[in-house]
Amino acid sequence: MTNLLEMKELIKRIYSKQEVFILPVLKFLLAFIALLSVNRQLGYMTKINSLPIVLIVSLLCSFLPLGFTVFFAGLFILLHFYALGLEVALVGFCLFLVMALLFFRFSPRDAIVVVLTPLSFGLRIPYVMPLAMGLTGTPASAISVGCGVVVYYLTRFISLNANAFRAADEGEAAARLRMVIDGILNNREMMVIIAAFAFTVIAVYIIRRLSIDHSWTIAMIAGTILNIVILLMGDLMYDINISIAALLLGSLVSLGVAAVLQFFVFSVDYSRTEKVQFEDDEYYYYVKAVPKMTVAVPEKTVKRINTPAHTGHMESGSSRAGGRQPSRNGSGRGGAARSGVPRVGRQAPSRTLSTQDHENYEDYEEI
Amino acid sequence: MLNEERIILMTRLASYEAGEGKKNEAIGKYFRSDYIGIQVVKSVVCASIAFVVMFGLYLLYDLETLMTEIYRMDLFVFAKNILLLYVILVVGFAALTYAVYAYRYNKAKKSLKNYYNNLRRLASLYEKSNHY
Repeated sequence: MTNLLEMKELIKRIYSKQEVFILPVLKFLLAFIALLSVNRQLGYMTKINSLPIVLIVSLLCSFLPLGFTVFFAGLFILLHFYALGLEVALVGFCLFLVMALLFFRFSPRDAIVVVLTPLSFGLRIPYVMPLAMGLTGTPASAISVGCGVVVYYLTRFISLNANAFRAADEGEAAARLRMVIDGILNNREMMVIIAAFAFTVIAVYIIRRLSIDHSWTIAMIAGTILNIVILLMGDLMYDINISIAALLLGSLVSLGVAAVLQFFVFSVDYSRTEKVQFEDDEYYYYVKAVPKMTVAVPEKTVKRINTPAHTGHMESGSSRAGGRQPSRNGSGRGGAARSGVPRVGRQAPSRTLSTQDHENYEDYEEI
Repeated sequence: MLNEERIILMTRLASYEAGEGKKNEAIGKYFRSDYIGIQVVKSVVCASIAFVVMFGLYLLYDLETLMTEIYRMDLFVFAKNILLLYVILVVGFAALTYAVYAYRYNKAKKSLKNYYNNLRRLASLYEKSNHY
């Protein structure tokens, strides 16, 4: 456990130092994987189904706000739909427009979930999304996850029926349009999954906010069980042929992924190094505020084992070190370093300033 | 002379101004009723566009049936039903918008109040240092 905590602190430290580079790289990777998946699943428009285009757009996304990744993924989907048929693109466009107008007006940041959910379906671990959103989001995140499920099933329906769309005559525009709309509205599997995910998000959210020990872990496990139960009930009621083995395995893996995310991402405050500028009557201030580390890596201690010279018996290294340590430190708190246990709150040279910083911090009102 | 306490407070305030404060300042410029009113109007427009889009799709979906039935159906009842659906959508969405943005306004105001308190505290620190 200590190793994991140290690793977490290390990641946090690296992130706070290299955030300027890490964030664009992560955004690039997300856009790249999302666009590649869209091209792989649909890929009807040859002009955009090429690696250079995907690379250029992903590079653009790496320094633009995250919303642009969603926009470009949607654009790619619509362009592929258009190559297949105008009606398909029309239905896709209307669906995206309604989502943007009704659902993402309140929380535009949640829109990225619409990209992440289909990706998680592609990785065969869609059940991680309701758990993750329940842990980090609000009950309203159920809508975002639901929209993501709709997008996934829309693209899947289109890719499965692409030949049928191609085979239909030009004159059968209305029939093609009806086919797409029916494909979305009559998809019971999609409806059951949306219901299961929505209930899971809300349940996980409620449980993790309870003031009980291990509420996050309990929330994840309870959410996974609830999700499985609703999906199995849906399978029984609507006969949607969910593979039970895949459901159980996927749920277990999702639970594991959610636990890893919870440990390394959700429960960690990746507070950034901030650079601010201000001035008063006397000075210009260029301040770099570096977040403090709470758990330090274990201190390397050198144990000296003296050879018995005159006394005739060996003195234990630790007891000798224990005797020397306080005088070396100039304080009486050498115990933690002696046994190699990580010292909490050990700070580098800025100790005097940071101590004061902490005291002052208590005085200020929380903004 | 540099005053550490002052610098820490100013850093926190500057960081707030650059981040969350920017959004809250924009909200704080409005009166409560104005801010919520504008958001509700925006939501009504969004809901109307969404309704038109959905209705358009419905028309395209059922075009053939509508064309054959148009002379037999009661257009008045049809229009009334459509209008009722529209009103339900818009009123529901507007009510939701009211609740969400009233909460956000209160939260932003509370945050700004603390920010102004800290500004006052900073001013008093300057006054104190001028006295000495």
